[in-house]
Amino acid sequence: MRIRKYDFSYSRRLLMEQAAKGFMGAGVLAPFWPLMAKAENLDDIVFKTWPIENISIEENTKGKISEGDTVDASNVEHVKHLLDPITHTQISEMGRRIKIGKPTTNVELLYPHAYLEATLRNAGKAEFDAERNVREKGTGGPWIGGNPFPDPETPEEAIVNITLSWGRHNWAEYGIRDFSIDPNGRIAYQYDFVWYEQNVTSRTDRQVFRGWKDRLRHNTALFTHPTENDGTSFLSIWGYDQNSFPDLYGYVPAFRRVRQFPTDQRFEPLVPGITLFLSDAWGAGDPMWTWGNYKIIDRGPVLAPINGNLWSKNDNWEIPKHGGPQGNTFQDTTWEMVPEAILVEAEPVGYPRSPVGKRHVWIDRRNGVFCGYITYDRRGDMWKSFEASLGPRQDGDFFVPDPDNPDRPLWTWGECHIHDVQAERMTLLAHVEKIRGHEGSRWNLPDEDDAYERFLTRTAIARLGAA
Amino acid sequence: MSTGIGQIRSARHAARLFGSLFILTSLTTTAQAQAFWESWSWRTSGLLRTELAIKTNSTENRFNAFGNEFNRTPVTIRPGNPFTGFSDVASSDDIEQGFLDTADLPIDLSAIPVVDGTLPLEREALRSTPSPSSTFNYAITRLEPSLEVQFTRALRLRVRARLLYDFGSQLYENFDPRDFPEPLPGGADPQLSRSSPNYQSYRVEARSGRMEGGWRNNPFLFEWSGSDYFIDFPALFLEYNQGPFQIRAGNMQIAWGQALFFRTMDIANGLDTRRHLIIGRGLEEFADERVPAPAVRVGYQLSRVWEVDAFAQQFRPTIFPNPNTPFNLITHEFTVHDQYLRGGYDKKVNYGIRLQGQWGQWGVQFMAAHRHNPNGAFRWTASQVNRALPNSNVLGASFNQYCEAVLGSPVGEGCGPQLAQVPLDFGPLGSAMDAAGVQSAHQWFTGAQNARLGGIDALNVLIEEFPVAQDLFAQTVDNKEDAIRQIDAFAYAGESIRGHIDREYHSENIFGVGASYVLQLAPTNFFNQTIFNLEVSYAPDRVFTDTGLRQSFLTDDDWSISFVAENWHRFTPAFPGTYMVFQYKFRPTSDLFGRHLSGMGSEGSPAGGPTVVAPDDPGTGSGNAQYIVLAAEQPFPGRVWETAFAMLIDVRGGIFIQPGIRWNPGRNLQFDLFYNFLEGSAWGTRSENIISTFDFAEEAVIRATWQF
Repeated sequence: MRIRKYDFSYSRRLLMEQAAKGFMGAGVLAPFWPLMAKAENLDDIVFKTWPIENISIEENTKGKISEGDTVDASNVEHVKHLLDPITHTQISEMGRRIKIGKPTTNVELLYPHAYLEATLRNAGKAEFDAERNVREKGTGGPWIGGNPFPDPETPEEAIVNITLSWGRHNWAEYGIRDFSIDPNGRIAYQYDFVWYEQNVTSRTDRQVFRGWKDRLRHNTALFTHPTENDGTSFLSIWGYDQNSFPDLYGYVPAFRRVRQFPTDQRFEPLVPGITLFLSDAWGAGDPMWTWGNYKIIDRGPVLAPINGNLWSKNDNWEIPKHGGPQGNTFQDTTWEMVPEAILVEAEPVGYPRSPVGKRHVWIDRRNGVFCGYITYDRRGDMWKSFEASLGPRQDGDFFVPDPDNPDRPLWTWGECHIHDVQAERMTLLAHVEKIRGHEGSRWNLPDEDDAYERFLTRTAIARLGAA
Repeated sequence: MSTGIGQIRSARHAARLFGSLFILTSLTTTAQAQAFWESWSWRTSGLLRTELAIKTNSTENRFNAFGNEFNRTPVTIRPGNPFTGFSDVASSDDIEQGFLDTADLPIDLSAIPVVDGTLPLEREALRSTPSPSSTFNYAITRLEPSLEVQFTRALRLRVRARLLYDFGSQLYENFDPRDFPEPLPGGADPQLSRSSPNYQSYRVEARSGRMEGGWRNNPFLFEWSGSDYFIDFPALFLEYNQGPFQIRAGNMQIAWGQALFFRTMDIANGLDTRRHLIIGRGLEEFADERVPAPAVRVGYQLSRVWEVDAFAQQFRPTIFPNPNTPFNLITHEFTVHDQYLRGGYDKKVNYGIRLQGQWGQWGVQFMAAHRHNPNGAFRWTASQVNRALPNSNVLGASFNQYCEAVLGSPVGEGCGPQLAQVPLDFGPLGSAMDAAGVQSAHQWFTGAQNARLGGIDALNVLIEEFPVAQDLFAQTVDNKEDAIRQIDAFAYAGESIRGHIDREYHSENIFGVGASYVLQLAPTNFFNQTIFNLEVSYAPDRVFTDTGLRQSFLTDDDWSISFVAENWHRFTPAFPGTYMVFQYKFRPTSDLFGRHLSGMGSEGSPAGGPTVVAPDDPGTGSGNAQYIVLAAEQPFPGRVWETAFAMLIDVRGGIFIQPGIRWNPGRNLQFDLFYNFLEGSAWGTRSENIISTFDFAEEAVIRATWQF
């Protein structure tokens, strides 16, 4: 029998005390990153770094909740301290259920293979320049791949880890099935769209795409269903300078042509009924210095959906739904303990008319990705949550192979809940096998030049537009 | 008959093509080919939409028989004396004496009934056609299925069909010439003039000629239409894409330029106005109107800044609504001889190239194109209708006898052989011509004003360029009074007059340049992120319709300059940003419809009613055309509801306002409600602005769409 050394809130108190003293390194028992950087076996690092109360749900809840349990309204109070407030409300009042899974302790499963290698390879080589952009030390060039600050000391370092590489693949395209649920719990809108993203710089292959050092990424959101929206697309061309707004172009089927859009309209629903804004993407959808007043306001273990969120046995990998007035409002998800997350608050200082007053982003200390996200309106009232399961793409023995290491499962996202609690609208995103008008998600393509021309230029979105 | 054969031929071509493909697929058995077939993927989608426009004003379409401003309004016609140059009003004695003096021809008028002791030579022209009040302007249901077949990553087929049924025959107030005891005599396309309105066909003169039976329906490949249905393929093309290169081949629409609605650089396609003219939902621009055509379009991204785009496409004209349909814009007293086929214009190819550059806040574009102007240009054309003047009146009987005795007409044909050589045909009252023709000079001048022509000018050109008219004592005039007396003389003699005009298409070059700039100011500034666009196009020696319908047309350089400012601004955190657009257009030569400005500015006609004073000719026309568009769209949170507002102001005195709301309730349904408010006489001279051309069409529009 393991003797509990700390109560469930001990590590949170300790971590905040350390933060107050300026010690931001991850870990309670030992610093996480130095172990990580040196370890040959990444399986047991988590156990060396955090106490069991941060890793085991059973230990954390004093046996009230165990792995394999389902958390619902009857027992959610036992994990309330591990959930963001919107998720708690969903479970306690709206009929949501989450399954508790085994924590992912093998850190390799928390990164794409190439991205982990780049993070380890390039550790310590990043610095902010005078314009507050990340540069490679010594060369002054753009960032060279992986997390620039694997053990962030500041909230800015934590945020830039997400901003410089959203999906952590040099090229990613995701076929996404969207269900937008109205306040009565009905599926009011069902869209299919493809999300393309390409890193121009900050790539794991040490390359700069076509030598364009002044760009960070290209990103297209292309709707393929239903007919009215077929061909609607938004192309964002990000400069490397995180103080500048991306150029934004859109193909509007009604106009039959590509239009330029102002880039500060990043807080608009892309299509009717959807609660996803460009600003929400990956928890850091805007250039990082268009936001400001970053601060860390909490540290500690949380629950988050990571592993076990691929439904490969279902037709087209569709995700079952439950809860809400019509049994449609939530997707079935598996959550697990994240031993340490930091909660970063930021304000949209570059968007004086933004409807968002601030946002809270929970960031997993093990890999630096977001594991919780809530925005507040200008009055300070909670507005939206953006929950995404980010983990290995595996389901039992089945897994989607990592393109750079086919023996290991790919790391990517599986599903999203974007809940507007003020309008009582929910958008569910499902990373399914195929959607209408797209042949399935792809990563790190051998012929990226061709794919760039095909999906990420103005000419491309004009061609992809509805005929 | 030729129409049917043409359709069969088209179908055979298609069958051969698909048959060849089928055989090819059947015979291909290698593993590689099998993998190719298995790599195919396809998907379908579509929409079903019903659109209903409820008329809200009492003004009927003045270009139609039912809306003619002279319906049930008598106008006294007093024919001029042809033997005095129409300088005075004639009496029957003048006529008899005139023929005797000039041709030594005694006229026998014994068949003409004597009234009050004299042979009458004055009449009250009274169109007996009613002007019923229409309830609906537009009522259609359309199905638009789409198919996309991805053969390989580089090659795909895209198909979108448009199947439309027009409920006009059930819901509109339809003029039907068959309601008259006698049908309309020959000379016009029977499908457009001898039965109830034809809502959806595009009718042109056959290659072989124009006489009855010489008309052709559906001159376009991939279009099938009838009176109340319409089927076409706005998209039916193969697309190949490799790296920065892409090519499309097939039937397609092409939209260029950034300025919405103004079409400064949007020059590739004409507009099909059979479906709700151009007054559909404003923010959808011309997506439904651009006429698709077989084309090859090539695009190449030269660099991250520059891209080039070029096309070569079969020429297809703008299509106007047919006579007596709710949105008809060409007065029904004209028989239009569309020369698209007969003139061989269907074999013409438009082509153009555009270079676009975009870097940071700046964008530029350059364009050059060679095309046939899809608007076409109109001119008088001989009617080729050999029909004598009615013998039931003094002038008609006199001229018929003169033609037979002096001009060599066969006995019994009267002036038919001569009139066949002028661009007019005549028919007796009491027949459908009663409603289908011009019965007075006042109607002639009012029609000319509505059509932006000159009443005197058109008369003189007719006489000069069709000299047979001079054999009938017609002579050019230099004042309106003489013109009125002369036209009244012909109207009296012929009782009802129809005009014949050719529509021809002329090649032209167009050059364009555009620039855009995104304004970067402090984030709090209202104008921050405003997008400015300036587009200029220039068409040297563009051919226009002459105000007198001259054979030589009117040639002039045509400039078009558009300035656009667009902004999204969030006024309140509670609502998504408001889209606002301001547009200004300046055209020194022609109006937004492409009509030369020399036809504008005719004075003397009150709005929407018959005139007791025949309008003047336009004189020097209006100096320039200027338009302002103000539009905005305000989505509600979640974009479930969207309000929109669009206003087009013609600074010469016309206003078009379209407020609307869209509801996206989900479950693939969408509802639109908008209102078209039109005022063509807000200020200034009515005939100088474009809105007065279609301000009869005020309406509330409901659209319901289901997508699948």
